[in-house]
Amino acid sequence: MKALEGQVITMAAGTAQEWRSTRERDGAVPGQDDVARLLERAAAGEQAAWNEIVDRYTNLLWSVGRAHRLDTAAINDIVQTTWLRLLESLGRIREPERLAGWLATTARRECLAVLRHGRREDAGWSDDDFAELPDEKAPALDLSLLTDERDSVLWSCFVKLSAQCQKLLRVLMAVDPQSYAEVSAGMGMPIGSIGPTRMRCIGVLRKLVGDSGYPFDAASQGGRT
Amino acid sequence: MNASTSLPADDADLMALLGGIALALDPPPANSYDIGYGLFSLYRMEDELAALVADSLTSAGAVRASTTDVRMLSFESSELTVEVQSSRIGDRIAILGQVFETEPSQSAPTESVVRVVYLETQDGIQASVVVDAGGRFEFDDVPAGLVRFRVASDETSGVATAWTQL
Repeated sequence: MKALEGQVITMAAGTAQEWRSTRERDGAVPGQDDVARLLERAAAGEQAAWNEIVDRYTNLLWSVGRAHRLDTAAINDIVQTTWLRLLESLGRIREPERLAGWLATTARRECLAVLRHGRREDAGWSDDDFAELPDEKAPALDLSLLTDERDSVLWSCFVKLSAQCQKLLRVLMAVDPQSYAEVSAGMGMPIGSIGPTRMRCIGVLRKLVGDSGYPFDAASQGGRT
Repeated sequence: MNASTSLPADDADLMALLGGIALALDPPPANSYDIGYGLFSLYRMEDELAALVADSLTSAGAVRASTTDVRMLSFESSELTVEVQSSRIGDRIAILGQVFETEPSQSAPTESVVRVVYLETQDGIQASVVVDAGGRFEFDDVPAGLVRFRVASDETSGVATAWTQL
């Protein structure tokens, strides 16, 4: 746990570097400038701007809580506390383009405090993600809510991933690709393993999909992994 | 290509597809957005923030501290430091606190400043007390949940601590 905390604390420089390289590769990122504008407007007291921030990022905060296997009441507290931390910091956010990473970092810290208070341990991140068994403790979700059989099959494959892969992908699926690096770092992942781990997890998922027997379009299963 | 059996070749598109499924299966509770909007009413630009600088719950001694249900918190702004001891009995909390200047001034005697501490929850101000000559204050029977302390005096603008889940 101590090593994990160290990673959280020291992540800032590495995250920025990875974030910059992501940005350079992808070119200009649409929508980032208006995050800065939204934060400015909210800092000036505009409720509508704040509401838009809440609309955009509530699902990310929820996903961070779910990735830590917390229940609804605990996650509600974490979401609230994270928003309050942002309110306390409004007007002092130096890198508004990294808001998603900041929110993930803050929510994760609150998750760890809840886990510690309940004397539960966070599994952290190991290099050997793939030796791990699927996440048996993950809440069972009602797949009948999905109308598309493809989605049911895909989710059934997702829950067969290792706990670590599910934890990472559960959060990344709630953000835009340009935030992957900063959000992964915010989740306490060692900087060097962010990209490779993500790609390996998605690779395993694609393999599970391929092995599922469901007739997915063969041409689209190879993917960029 | 049969649309219902296609799988995005691009990883980002696959993640977006999974994101849509997660949102359908396990979305944030409907009221969590309204709660988020409502928190903006707590935003006050004029307050100076006293940030949480120490918390026994998250420090190295956390395990031992949590077994006694006594928690020590320290908040600091450039102007004031607020130290709080919270003792939990069931779902009620007793607070003992002390306010002092972060950097005591040489010129003005601090005894002359009358300070009031307000206990706030998300529902607003719950209680207030005048701090004693030693800067101490006390609140009994505080409900568990999010709280913060605001310190106000005649001479200074308000200082509010970070919101904390007690």
